[in-house]
Amino acid sequence: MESGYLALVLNAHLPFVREPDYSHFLEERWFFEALSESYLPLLRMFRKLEADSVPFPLTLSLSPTLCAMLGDKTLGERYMDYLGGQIQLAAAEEKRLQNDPVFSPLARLYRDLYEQDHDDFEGLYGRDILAAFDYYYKRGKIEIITSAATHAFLPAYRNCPEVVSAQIEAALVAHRRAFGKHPAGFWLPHLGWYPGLEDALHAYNIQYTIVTTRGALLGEPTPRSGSFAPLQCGNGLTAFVRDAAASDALWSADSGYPADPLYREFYRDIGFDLPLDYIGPYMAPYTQGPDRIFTGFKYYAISGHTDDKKPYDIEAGRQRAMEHAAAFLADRSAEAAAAAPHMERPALMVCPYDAELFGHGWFEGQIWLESIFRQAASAGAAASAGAAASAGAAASAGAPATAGAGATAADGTAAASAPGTVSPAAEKNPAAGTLPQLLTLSEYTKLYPENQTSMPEFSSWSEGGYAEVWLDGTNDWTYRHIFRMIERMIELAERFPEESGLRERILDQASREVLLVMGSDWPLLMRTGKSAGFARGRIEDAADNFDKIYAMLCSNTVDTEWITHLEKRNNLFPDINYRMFRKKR
Amino acid sequence: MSDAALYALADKMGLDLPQGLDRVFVIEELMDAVAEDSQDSQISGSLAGVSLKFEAAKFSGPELDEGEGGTQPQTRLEQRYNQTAIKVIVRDPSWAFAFWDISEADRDKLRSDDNGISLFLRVSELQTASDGHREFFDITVSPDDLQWYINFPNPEAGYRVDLCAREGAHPRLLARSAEISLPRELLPRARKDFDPDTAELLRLSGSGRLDIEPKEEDNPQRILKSGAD
Repeated sequence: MESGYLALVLNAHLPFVREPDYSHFLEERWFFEALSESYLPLLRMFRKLEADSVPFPLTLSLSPTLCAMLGDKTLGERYMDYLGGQIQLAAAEEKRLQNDPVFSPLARLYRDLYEQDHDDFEGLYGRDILAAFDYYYKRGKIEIITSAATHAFLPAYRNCPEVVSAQIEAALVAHRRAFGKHPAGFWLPHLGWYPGLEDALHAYNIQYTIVTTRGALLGEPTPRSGSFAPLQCGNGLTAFVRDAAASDALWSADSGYPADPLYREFYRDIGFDLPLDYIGPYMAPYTQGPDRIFTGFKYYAISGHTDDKKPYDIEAGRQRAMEHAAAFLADRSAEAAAAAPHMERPALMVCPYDAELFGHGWFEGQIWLESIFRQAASAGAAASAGAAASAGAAASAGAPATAGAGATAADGTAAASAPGTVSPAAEKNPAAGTLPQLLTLSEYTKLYPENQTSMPEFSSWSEGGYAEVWLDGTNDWTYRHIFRMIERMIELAERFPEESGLRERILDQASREVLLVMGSDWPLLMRTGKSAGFARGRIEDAADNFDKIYAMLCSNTVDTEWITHLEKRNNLFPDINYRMFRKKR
Repeated sequence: MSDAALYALADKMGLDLPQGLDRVFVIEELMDAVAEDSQDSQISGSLAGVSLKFEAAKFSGPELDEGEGGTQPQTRLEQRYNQTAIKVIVRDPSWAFAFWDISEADRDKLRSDDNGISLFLRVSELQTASDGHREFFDITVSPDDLQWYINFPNPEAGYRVDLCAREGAHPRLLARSAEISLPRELLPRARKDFDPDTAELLRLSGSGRLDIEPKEEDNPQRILKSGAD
């Protein structure tokens, strides 16, 4: 019997920021940066692991808005333009730093990164990133799932079943268009769950989703196995449970790996450090004046809580990422071992993270992720040969021998152990040295189709654990307009159930505008204050567009030129069917 | 809010106040407790704050739009749609956000009242007591108000919010919200009261760190009530 199971789940998502009316659009850089630093490196990692026959059973959620942008030709063109600019800047930086032994290797690092991205995107994948992910999906190497159409925070709409269904249905149609099959799983944006959502998901033949630890533990009845086994809602939908300790390992301010002083500092960027007369031209296409923006070229390490940052040491960062991978696996082993005496089956630890954390937010995150797969595979091989798969065995797979192994902390959760140490508990407990088996969530459901019936409580993974992020003084004003649009969309779908031709096109576009306005990214940006004006503009634009469409339909007039332009601008969900907004009877 | 509702709120917040206290004193105690809770949540929410930082990190750009960080932004969208309706969205176990509008026609009718427009929100518990009585409390709002954060006395309960106008001694219903359910915020009983295996697995899952375990020392009444469920 396995000592435990570990399921890594990444959610890749960006809001729909395509803006063809402008030659360059600042927020499109979010997409370009994520492509360069997260999505393309993730595919490179898959390629390397496959070549080395290392399994990488990852569950990957690709949100419908991200899929729409990954498949868009205009954005593909623009990404090539962006890469050209980044490669030019890298060349300029290499020249500027050619006599600097500390920083010149970093300039080379970025040149290599962007040139590799260029070669992969254009040469290897022919600009078709979705097909690249699909290759690994179809070969069963990874599992791809979907999420709400525009990543709406679903608990805010629990009293409006039509729009929750529309978010699910549009997502499934988009997923089938991209990958030709129905997904087994559904990523809840921000893990936002509420009792009753299981009916909407199950009605579309979704087999599983993931909920927070809080939501699961507060469920009815209380789960017998805590977060270490999934739950089954009354209708059969499986709710996997996020592992709190594994979340802390990456998200904790104090002990989370990405905060390690050796790692690259995200917020120290040459876009803010170098003179504008030098760096300005590289930013100018995306800025409307002398504004500074992130360039992606970052030369310093986190270095601790100080403004006196040390130069980033590439090799030290790489080594630390592998140490952290070993520590993470050892900590999960300890966690599984601690749970084992109290369970009838091996503990499952579900570890969901944002995909953009790896590479973009946490530069070394891709090294960490690859190291997880390699160390786990190596330890698995050692175990099958009868050897103890320990942190030491992991080290033989390329990780440093000083892998940390965690024990349970005073509050009970497995602590993220300090790198470079082996905890006493791990030494005492032989089971802690046996690494858990990695698998996808569908693979787990095949192993254990029956689970305890329990209904998770309303919760999310964001600040406060419920809906605090999505409802505060910065963003609550949006719901008045969003609900107004939703009600009118339902009204339109009821009034015009069998339209075709131009009127159907107009109604479909109205549906797109309603879905777009519901994106959870807009209230998040308002809450954080980052690009809040842009987020407000997206809400206002969608509301204006919808109102104009509504007025056209009510007055039986059509501005064909305008609606055609809007279809080309907000061109996601080409297969959308406005009738999904009809009342649920 | 009625005295009963104030005491229910105090009970929920772990305050053991003797009956018959001056209403002002009860409110002051509640305000102090809210301030303390706010400090606590800032501490326990630090990890969640990090998650927010990571979630937002993919949106590189200006750190803060000038004048927009944490403030109510100005929108060019109209605030009113000339429709009498109220909606409520649950925020957490204690709070929900209500927003409403009153059509011009309804406002005109209300203005014809000699006393002018007098509005309030009636927040009613869905569950009726054994004697058929239904708990409710009223929140007075001004004619200019269009939204309100409502604090609820009982987590896990179901509520409905009515937008009402006063007509003499009688309330007139203007709009009724959909029913809402507040989420549970604590385990139904102390961890030690679960079977030993479950208790240990809850501990390993992080029930302590998530602050979802009932605190016996803070509020014995709550344990007593929960245990009886």
